[in-house]
Amino acid sequence: MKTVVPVYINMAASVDAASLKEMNLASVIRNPNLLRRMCRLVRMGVAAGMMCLEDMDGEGLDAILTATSLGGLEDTGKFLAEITERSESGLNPTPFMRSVFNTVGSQIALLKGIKVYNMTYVHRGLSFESALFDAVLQIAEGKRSVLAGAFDEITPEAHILKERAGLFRHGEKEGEGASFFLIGNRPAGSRSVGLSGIDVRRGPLDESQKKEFAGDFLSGFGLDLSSVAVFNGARVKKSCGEYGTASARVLHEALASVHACSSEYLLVCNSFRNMSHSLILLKKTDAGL
Amino acid sequence: MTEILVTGLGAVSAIGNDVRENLASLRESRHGIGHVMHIRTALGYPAGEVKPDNASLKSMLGLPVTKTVSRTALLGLMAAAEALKDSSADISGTRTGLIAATSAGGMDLTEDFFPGFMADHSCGRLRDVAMHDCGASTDFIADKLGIKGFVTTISTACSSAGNAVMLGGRLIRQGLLDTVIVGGMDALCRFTLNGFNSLMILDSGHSRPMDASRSGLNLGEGAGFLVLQSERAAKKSPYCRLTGFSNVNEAFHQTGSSPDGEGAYMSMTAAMRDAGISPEEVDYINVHGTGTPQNDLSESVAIKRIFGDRPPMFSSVKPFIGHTLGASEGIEAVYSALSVSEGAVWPNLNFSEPIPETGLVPELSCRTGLEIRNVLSNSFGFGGNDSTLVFSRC
Repeated sequence: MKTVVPVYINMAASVDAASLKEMNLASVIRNPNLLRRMCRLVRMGVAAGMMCLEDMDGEGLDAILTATSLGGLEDTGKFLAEITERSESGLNPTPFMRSVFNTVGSQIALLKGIKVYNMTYVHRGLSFESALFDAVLQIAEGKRSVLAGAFDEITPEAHILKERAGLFRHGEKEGEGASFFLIGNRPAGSRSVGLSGIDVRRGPLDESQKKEFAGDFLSGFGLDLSSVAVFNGARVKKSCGEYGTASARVLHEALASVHACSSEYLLVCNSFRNMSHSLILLKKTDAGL
Repeated sequence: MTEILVTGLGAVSAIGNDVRENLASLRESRHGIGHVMHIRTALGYPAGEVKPDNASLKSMLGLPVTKTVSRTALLGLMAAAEALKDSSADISGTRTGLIAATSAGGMDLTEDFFPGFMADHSCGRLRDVAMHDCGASTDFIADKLGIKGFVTTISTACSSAGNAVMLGGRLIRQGLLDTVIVGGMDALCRFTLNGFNSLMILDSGHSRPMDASRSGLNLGEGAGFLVLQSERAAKKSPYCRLTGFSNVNEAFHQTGSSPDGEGAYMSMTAAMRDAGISPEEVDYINVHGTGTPQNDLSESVAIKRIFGDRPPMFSSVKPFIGHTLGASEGIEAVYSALSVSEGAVWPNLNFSEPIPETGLVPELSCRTGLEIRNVLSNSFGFGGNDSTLVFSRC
């Protein structure tokens, strides 16, 4: 989809297991009561979201869009184990409450007191792309500023299941993390990057079909593969690992390289286990030139 | 702005396997709450289960009985296929989408896999967790129906399907799709039964929404889908129009709703503004009305704040089908669309005494032959998510 109105990515933040340990969480999530009850995944997601909202009071935000491919696996596992171990009686509701997919979005809303549109997308390797797509729709509908982000976590159980499914035999590195973006209808400084369009495909594609997909997408902008720089998500995933919403992390890394690249446009390409594919077209802004 | 027409409906719930059966049960005040039959649980709570078991659902759908498919996906396919057939929509191009909502996804399979796997990590068949994620059920339906355009899955707890309908409406309005199948699906499972039990909001008897003596909800399962089309794409005369929607977060509490009904108030107000109607033009409200003390009070207070002492007709259909979570606003949106097209309102079963704080009395029997101009349909979820849809006469 080509964006019909100008859309800008004005801020980005990522939190992974390593940075979660290093950061001063209490300075980012400034409600000790809420923070204490958050599990690791929720902490990663809420921290990344709050970092994007640092300079903002609750008034200026029009939507909170979140995405996760698998949600709170740790809490889901905990609650499932309790059901068996305690024979369905006297269960602690906390893991159940935290296992709900929209927890991160609603915790951000609670922390900031933001009473706006909230949406949570849970569509496998295209979860984050759905949230980004909604962000573009929001701006087209006249909204000024929306928060969009994604998060997923590794758990020991999920690791074993991936191993049994043979994913690591094919060279996949396991990953997790949260990445959030503040998206607006106007640039907010020299770090702002234009978001020109996004498109997705479901199902496997071979190399020539991937090229065709990119060519079709770019032709909508009067561009072709020779006129844009290409940012291959697979490169980032070598370090951050693979997970359903890794494309959010890829986008964050791509944003950092937009202004250094020779072309005006940067095409960000993602594939998730060759089950789904996405293309995001970024454009340098005047402010950043 | 492009009109959003409702041209197809599909529903499977505790009171029927298709729209016709659901409608007959609503008209005859025949509820579907009873003992849990299809899942193993030590809990004795009644629930609104869809009557056919998985094997019967598969055979009704023409699937091999041996194929492993989550019940959520089976229910979703039943309702989505019915809605699509009903609409006679042409789905051959890429301008047709599917937006499905669910809260539990393939949990019905995962929770049977998990105990054996936890005892021995080499145990259990991987195909039993292959559909765990929510998107798996949506992709299954999209592939079975042959949807080539935009496909996604939404999960915002109990307001999930309302938000799926809303996203579909926005895509038609913006001219990005011509046809979109929207709705929700959820299978009853131990996970959610135990979750709601741990929160102590299940009624051990039949739920009594909007009643002074209400003491909790009954869970249910099922799926409800609608086909939304632009005027250009519609091939048949529509049931009604989707004219407004809203989604707000009341930012009050992770699982509770505010006593002043702020979220419900904002949601209903914004949806009416979006539809360009005044409160006087609303003829019926399909309330969220779960039967929990907090939800029903909060929602009643919001209704009084908007409509004063003379609110439009309203009722909760949850005593018929239970609270079907991610499916609820899918099934209830179907009932709301039927309310407009049939000129009918559905009874709020089990009501005897109004909530003292608000004194509101819901509709107690099925009424037909009415002129229903606009229906508001509410769904509220954990995390403070509140959504309202507006269905209007053509």
